Amino acid sequence: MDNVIESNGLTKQFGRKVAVNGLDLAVEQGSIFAFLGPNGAGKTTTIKMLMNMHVPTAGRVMVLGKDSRTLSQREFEQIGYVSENQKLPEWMTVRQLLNFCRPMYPTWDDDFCARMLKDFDLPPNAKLRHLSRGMKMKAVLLSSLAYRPRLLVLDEPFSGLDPLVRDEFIQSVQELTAQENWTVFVSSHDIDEVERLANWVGMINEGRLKLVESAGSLQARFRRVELEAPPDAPLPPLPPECMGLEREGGRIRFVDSAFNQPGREAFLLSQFPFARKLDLKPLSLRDIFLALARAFRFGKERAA
Amino acid sequence: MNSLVMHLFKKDVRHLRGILLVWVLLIASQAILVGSGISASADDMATMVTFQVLSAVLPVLKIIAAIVLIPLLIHGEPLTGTTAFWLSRPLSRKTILAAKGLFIGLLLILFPLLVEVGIFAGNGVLVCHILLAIPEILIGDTALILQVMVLAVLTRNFARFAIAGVVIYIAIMMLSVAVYISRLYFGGMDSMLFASEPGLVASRGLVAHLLVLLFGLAVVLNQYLTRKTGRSIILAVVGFALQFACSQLWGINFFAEEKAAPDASIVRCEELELSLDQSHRSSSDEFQMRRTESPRKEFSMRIEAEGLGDEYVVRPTETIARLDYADGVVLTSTNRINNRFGLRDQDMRALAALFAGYEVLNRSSYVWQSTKIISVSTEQYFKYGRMEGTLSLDVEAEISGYRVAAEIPLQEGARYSSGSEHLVVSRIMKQSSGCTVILRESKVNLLFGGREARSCSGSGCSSRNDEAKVFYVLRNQARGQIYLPQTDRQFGGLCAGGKQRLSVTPLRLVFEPNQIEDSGFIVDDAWLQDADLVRVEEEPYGYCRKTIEVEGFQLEGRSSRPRRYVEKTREGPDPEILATIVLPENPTREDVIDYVKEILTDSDCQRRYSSRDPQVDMLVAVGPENLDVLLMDGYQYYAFLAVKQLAGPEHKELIIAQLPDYHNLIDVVVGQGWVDEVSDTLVAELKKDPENLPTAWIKAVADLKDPATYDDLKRYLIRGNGRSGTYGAIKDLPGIDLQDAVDQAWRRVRYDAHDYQKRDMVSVAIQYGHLDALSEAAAMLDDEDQDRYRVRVLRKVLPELLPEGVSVEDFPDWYRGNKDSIRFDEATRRYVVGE
Repeated sequence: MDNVIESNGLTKQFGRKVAVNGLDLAVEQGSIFAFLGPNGAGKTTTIKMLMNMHVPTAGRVMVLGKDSRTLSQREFEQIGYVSENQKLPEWMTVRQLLNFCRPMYPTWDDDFCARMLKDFDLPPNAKLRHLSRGMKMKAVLLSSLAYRPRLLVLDEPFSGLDPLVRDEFIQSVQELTAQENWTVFVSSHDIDEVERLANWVGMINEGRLKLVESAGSLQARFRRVELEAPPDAPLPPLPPECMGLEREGGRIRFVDSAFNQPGREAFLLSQFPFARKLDLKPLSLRDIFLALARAFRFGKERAA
Repeated sequence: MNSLVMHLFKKDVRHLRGILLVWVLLIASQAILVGSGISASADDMATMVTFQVLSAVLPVLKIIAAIVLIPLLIHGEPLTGTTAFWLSRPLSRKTILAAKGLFIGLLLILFPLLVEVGIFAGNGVLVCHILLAIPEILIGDTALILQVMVLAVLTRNFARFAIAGVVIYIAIMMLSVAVYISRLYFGGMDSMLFASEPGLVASRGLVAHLLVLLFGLAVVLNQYLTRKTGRSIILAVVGFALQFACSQLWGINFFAEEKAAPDASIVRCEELELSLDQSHRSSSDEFQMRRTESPRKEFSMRIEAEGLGDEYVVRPTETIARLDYADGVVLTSTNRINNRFGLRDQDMRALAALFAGYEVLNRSSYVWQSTKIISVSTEQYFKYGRMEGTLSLDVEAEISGYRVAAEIPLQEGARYSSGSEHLVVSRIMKQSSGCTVILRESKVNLLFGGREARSCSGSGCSSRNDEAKVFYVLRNQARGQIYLPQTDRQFGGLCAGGKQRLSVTPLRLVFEPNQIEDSGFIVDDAWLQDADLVRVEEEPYGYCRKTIEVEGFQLEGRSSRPRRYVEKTREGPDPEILATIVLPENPTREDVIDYVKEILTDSDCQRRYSSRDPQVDMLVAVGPENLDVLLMDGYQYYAFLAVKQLAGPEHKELIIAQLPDYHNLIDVVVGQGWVDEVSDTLVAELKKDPENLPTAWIKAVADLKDPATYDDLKRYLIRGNGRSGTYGAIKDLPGIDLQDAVDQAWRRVRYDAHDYQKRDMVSVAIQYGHLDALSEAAAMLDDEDQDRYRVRVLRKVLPELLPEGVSVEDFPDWYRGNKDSIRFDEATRRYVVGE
C-alpha cells in the first residue's frame, strides 16, 4: 500500500530550540493516524511542515508523493486541513465560506456539501465570527471535506469542543473515512477521543518520534500487571519492557509492553516466584500513553 | 485571466465594500470640489472657508483611507505566520499576488488617476500637460501605496500593522529630528536656508520616490513569491535607508534651470552698469547658528543698475565680494540672495515704463531693494571697519521685464486662458469708495512640466517666491490711470490630489482708497465704467554677471559718531532741572566736563530742540577755552550751537581735525573762512557717498567751482537727502548739466516710501518737465496741511513754468482741467496745453 505521508530525518529548528528532531514517519493510505504527544512535543510543527507552512531545517517529508516544499495547487486540492489555530475569514457567513472555497476545488461536491451542512446542523447565513468554537470547527471541517480530499489533516481538532460536539465531529470523520477510504492524520493530546478514531498511532516527545504502531497491535502489546506478594518480599530487577513499577503493601503493579510475546504470562510469573496471584488487564490508549509518557520522563525510553 | 484571481478579487471587493465606498466618496468629493474649479463661488466667505477646510482635509482623509484599506486587503491573505486560512488551500501565491495587484491597480491607482485626469480635462488643462501629469501621479500614488503595502505584507494583522506603523513613524520622526539637529550643528545657516532649493527638493523627492517604487516592489514581490520574511525585511530596511539618505542628501538637481545669459537681441549684458549706492547701506550682526562660531557682521547696500532702461528689472541673485586692504589682508564672502519678495522700486519703475503715459495711482508703498554685499567676522570689522580698502564685487543678476499678457474686461464672468492656466472674473464688489475684484485662477504645477507648468514646486499653492511675478492692474484708459491692487490669496487653493498638481486659487484684488495718498481719488462707478483689468506678467530674460570695483571702500560708512539712544520723555527743556545745574566759579576742567555732560545728558530726553533754549547760553558760559569739551560727547544740537558762538581762530586746528566726524562744523569752517584749507576734506567726504551732508557742505564744495567735483555733486543730488538744497547749491555752477541727475533723482524718490523726500524733490523735478511731479505740485498746493516752506518754494518756482495768464493760485484748477493735454515745452521750458 502507498504511503500518503512519508518523512525522513525531518527536522525543524527555531533558533537553538529543536522542535522536531530527525522524524521518520510513514502513514499508509486509508489509515487514520493519531499523532500523539504532550504539549510542546512537536506535533503542530510536524504538521506545519507537512502542509508547507514551515520549511524543514533538515530532512524532508513527502505528502501525496511530493516533497512538501513543492506542494502545488494540485496537491492542495486533495488535502483537507483543520486546525484549532487557523485564522478564519470571520467576516464570512458559513455559506460565503463554502462559496469562497468551492471554485478552488474541481472535485467539490455540492450535494455532499449540502448533506453535510444539514448533518452538521450549521446555520448557513450566520457569520463565522458569531459561531461558537465548535460550530466554527465544523464549518471548517465541512469546507475541508466537501471536495473529498485524499488526505485529511486535523491538528488538535478537539480542543475547546464540548463533549457533544466532539462526539459529532468524530462520528462524522469516522463515517466519511469509512465511506471514502480517506487517509486521516490527526494530532491531539486528547487521547480518549483519538482512541475511538485511530487505527494507527504515532507518539512524539521532545521532537523525537517514540513510537509508530497500529492501534490494535499497541493494545495487544500493553497490559497492566498486578501481583499479590508478601510485603517484605524483595523486588527482582524488571526487564526493560516493563515500566511504572509500584508497590503498595502486598500489591505490586507495573505495565508490560511486550505482552504479545508468546509465553509472556509464564515469563512474568517466573520473575516473581513469591507471587501469590497474577492479575492482567488490557490498557486503554490513554493509559498506554500515560505509561509511556512517564517512562519517557524517567528516561526509560528503551522500554517503548 | 485566472478565474481564481477574479474570484479572490470579487471576494476582496465584497469584504472591503464599506471602506471602498468611503474611498470612492472621498475621491468623488475631491473631484467635485476641484472640478467646480473657477466657476465656484469665490465671494462667499462661508463657502470659501468650507472649501478651504475640505481641500485641506480631503487629501489627508484619502491617505488615511488608503492606510486602512491596504492592510485590510493584504491581511485577507496574510503573508507572515502559519495560521492563515489560505495557506492550506489550493491558492498559489502568484494567484493571490495577481488578485491583490488587480484590486490595488484598478481601485487605488487607476480609478483615482482617471478621476484626476478627468478633473484636469474639466479644468481645461492642455493634453500635453495631462500626459506629463500622469507619470507624476503614478509615481506619487504608487509610492505611497507601496510603502503601506510593504508594512502590510510584513505583518499578519491590522493590530500588528498599526503598532509597527506607529513605531516606524516615531523612528522616522526621531531620525528626521536627528538629521535636522545634525544640520544645525554641522551644516550651518546655508544648509538650513538653501537645502530647500526648489529644484533640488523636487529632485530629492523624485529619487526617493523611485527608490520607494524599486524597493517596495522588490519587498512585495519577494514576500508574495517566496514568503521569505527575513529577506523582505532586509530589503525594506535597505530601501528605507537609501531613500531616506537620498531625500536628505541627494545633490543632483534634475530640475535646475541653467542660468543662461539673456538673448542679446533683448538684453545686452555689456550695456548693464552696476554700481554700489553706499548711501543706502545697513549693517547688522549676522545670525549665527552656533555659539562657538565667531560672530560676524553683514553689510547690505543698494546695487544701482543703469544702462538697460526703465523697463528692465535687475535683481541680484548672488554676490561674491573681495575686499583688499593695504596690509595684504583680503576679506571675502559669497552671498546668495532671494530678492523676489514683494514689489520693489525697480518693479514699479518697470511697470511705469510699461504703462508709459499712465498715472500710477498707488505708487508710494514700495521699498528700496537692499543687497547683502559682504560679511566679515567681528574681529575683522573692528580692525578694518574704518580702514579703506578696494572692494571687488562680482554680482550675478537676473534680468527680467514685464509684459501685458491680457486685457480682461472688468465684467463678472470675463475669462482669460493661456495654455493650462485659466482665469475668470468672479465678482466685482463695489464698496463705498473703493472696490474689490475677485478672481479665480486654475493652473497646473507639474514636476515634469518644465518652468511654465511648474509654478510652486510642491511647496503649496500660495507660495510663489520662485515663480515669475504676475500682477493684475486696474486700468482706466480714458483717464490714463492705473492702479496696482494688493493680491490676497488667503483662502489658499483647491488642489487635485495630495499634491497641488492642479490648483484653483481665489485671488482678491483690493482697491482701497486709503492706499492712494492725498489724491482724493475714489473708485466710483464712473471710474469703473471705463476700467479694464490688465494681467501683467514678468518675463525672465536671463542672467548677467558684472563686477563692481570700489576704491577707498569702508565697511563702516557712517560719517558721524554714533550717539546712544535715550528715550524721549520730555517735550522741551525743564527750567527746574536746568536751575540745579550750575557752573562753579573758577571751574576746573573736570567741573566744566561734568557741567557740560550734565546739560547734554538732561537734554537728550527732549523731543523738541530750539536755538532759543537756555541750554545754548549755559553751554556758551564754559568759554572758548573749553570749546573742545563741547565736542567730546558726540554731536549734540546745543553743543554745536555753542561751538558756533564760541569758535575763533584759535580753534582752527581743532575744528578742522573734527570736521570729518562732525559735518555740521562746516558752518564754523565757512563762517571763519577756512574753506580753502579743508577743500580736500570736503571733497573726500563727498566721495564717500554719504547719505546726509549739510547743505552748507555741498555749497562749500560747489563754491570751489571745480568741474572735477561735478560728478560727485550730481551723485549726491541723486542719492543724498535734502535734494532741493543740493540743487539750489549746484544749479548755477558753470557748465554743469543737471537734466540727467534730476531725472535720476526724481526716479528714485517718486516711489519712495519716505514721502518727504519726494515732496522735497517736486520743486526741482517740475523744472525739468516731469509731469508726474507737476501733479504732485498741484496736490501739494491744495493740501492745507502741507509744509509751508515747500509750498513757498513751489510758489517761487511755478511762475517761471506756467503759461502766461496762469497764476500760482489758478494752477491746481488749471492742472486738473487740462492734465491730459499738458506737456512740457523744452524750448520755453514752460508747461503748455495742447500740441
